[in-house]
Amino acid sequence: MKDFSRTTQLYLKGILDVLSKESLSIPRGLTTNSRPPRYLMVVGGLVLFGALFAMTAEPLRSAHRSTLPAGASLLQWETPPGFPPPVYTFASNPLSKEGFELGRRLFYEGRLSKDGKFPCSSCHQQFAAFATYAHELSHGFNDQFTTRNTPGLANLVWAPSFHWDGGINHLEVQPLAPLTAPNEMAESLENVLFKLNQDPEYRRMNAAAFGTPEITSQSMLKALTQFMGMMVSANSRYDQMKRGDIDFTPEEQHGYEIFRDRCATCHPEPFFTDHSSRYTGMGVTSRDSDLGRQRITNDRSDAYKFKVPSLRNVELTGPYAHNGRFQTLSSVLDHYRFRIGNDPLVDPVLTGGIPLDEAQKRDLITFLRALTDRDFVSNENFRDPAHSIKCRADPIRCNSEPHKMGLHR
Amino acid sequence: MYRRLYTPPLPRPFKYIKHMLLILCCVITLRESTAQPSLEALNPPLVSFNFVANGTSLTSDADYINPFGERYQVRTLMFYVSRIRLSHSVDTNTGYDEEYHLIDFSHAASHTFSVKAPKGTYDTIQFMLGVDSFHNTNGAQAGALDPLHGMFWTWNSGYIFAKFEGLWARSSGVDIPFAHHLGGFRPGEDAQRLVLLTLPPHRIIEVKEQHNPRIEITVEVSRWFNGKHALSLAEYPSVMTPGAKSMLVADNVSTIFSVQ
Repeated sequence: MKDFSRTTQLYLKGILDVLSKESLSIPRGLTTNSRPPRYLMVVGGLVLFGALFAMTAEPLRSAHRSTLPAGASLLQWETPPGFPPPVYTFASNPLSKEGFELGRRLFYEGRLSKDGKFPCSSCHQQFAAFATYAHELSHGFNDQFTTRNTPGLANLVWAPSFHWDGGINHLEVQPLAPLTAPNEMAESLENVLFKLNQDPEYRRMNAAAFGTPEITSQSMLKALTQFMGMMVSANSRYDQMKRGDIDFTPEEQHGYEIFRDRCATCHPEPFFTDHSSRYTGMGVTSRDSDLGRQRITNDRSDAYKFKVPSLRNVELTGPYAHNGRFQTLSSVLDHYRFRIGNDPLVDPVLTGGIPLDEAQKRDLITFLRALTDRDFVSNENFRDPAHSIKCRADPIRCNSEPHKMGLHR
Repeated sequence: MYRRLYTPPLPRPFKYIKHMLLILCCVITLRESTAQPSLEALNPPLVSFNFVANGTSLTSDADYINPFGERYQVRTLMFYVSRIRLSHSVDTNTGYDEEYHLIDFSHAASHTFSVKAPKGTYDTIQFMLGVDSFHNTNGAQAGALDPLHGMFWTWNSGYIFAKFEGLWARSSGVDIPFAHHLGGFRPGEDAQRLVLLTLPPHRIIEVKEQHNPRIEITVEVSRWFNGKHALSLAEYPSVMTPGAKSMLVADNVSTIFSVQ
């Protein structure tokens, strides 16, 4: 091992010497004296051989791996402290500023919907942590309601599946569902691509991000994934406390302790969900007979199960539950306190409900509010790009009369 | 004058340049020799699918009677084929051609494609019907697997392996639609099926220069209903999700192919 590293050093030194002027004046005699022993030469040769072999092997094996086009600037992914490595790694979708910006524009693009009125952002509003503000169900094409309550978007690259029923198995293909759902954006993939390819600006952006002007389903989905994947929420008061930047108030600390004792089985840190599907005793009503997870797995034991939602930014994402039946965090907690005790089908960890007295409930809600990430919901990078341009031009009017600037959605 | 004639000695690293070049050459040579053997042939064999119903050429505006006496018309008929391998006897084969092909009855251009095969004689063709688990779970795909082709379930991620849609009626009366969308890659729902066809003696192909061999595969649509299981349209007018029904239909679909 020692020999290997010494030889490598010698070779490296040799290369460095070429670069320095001094080496040109080294008398011949000296170089002969410093010539390494023969066996080291052999070993060094082998090391070099191995290194070159490995280097040439990699590009052959990854011939199909996407690479950034010339001129595109790489965006660096950073995993926040305390977070595990992402599930979605961007390995086959290298992050670039151009890809992100294309995705951002598409996210706010009405032309992704049939009548132009329903971009992704019509249901996923930044100020509501990318859920729909104050809506049990959101609105889609032709005055229809969405099937389920719009979930907030954050930290998607760590999620193994998407939607309330976990039916989507990969971040890149998620947008296909709302885009084609007749009660959401109601469009066809073919028509969306036709419309986008009519726009020279989109063709320019696509070329900058992916090397070719033609927008394909793959480039559209990968760009959207770059934008959505970068939506990382990791700067709430909770995160700041974890990093040692601030201290929790006594109420927050008390709430955090209750949380870890009563809630963390299904809502473990740092994502505040275990990504599992569970039946939480919502019951089946005439209004809501949604089979949930069973629709995906065809397994009757999955009936009425829904994915455990993340609690990050939960203060902003109400109403709550897949059908939006709870208007407030207080009513969610009351459901767990009082209403599920007798339901025989309820998830075993919830048997008997979650006992909380009023003081505990109050502090628990205080803790849940500490999961709100103000930087995330006000991050300029995630805003409507049209909004940013207009607001830079006229910031005062932008803040006071956004609707008069065509920014109302 | 003296200074002009003086050439400084080669700096140390250049002394090894010959060795380094030698090593580089060795690496390149060895790398070439360890690369996968190429499947390319000068004249790749063509595989083509010919659609028939009850032995006569299939058209989209004709009425057909299925084995249960049900009258039907075909609107859409599409399926995925991949992992094509030609072989002869037990130990000679071309290796798998992993490319995906979407065969669409309404698009004649999709009925014929070439497969990679080295020179040789082949008497068997096998292929996988459907889409493997990897491509069902790895995000946005392009080419034959582009979701643009309408062969992707958007609400329950996964490919539709085969699609058969049309109109049917019991004996007389109003035509009503039927639709079989089958797929499923998860354990317990796997609808991928291996199809293995032996070429009759007069259809054995030889891949060589100046020669375009062709494998003509007949697709007998009527076997979709009873190739392995009896699946009448009355009982199975609609199959739209992965699961038990999809697997039954997949069994039947694996029997619609033959080389005559």
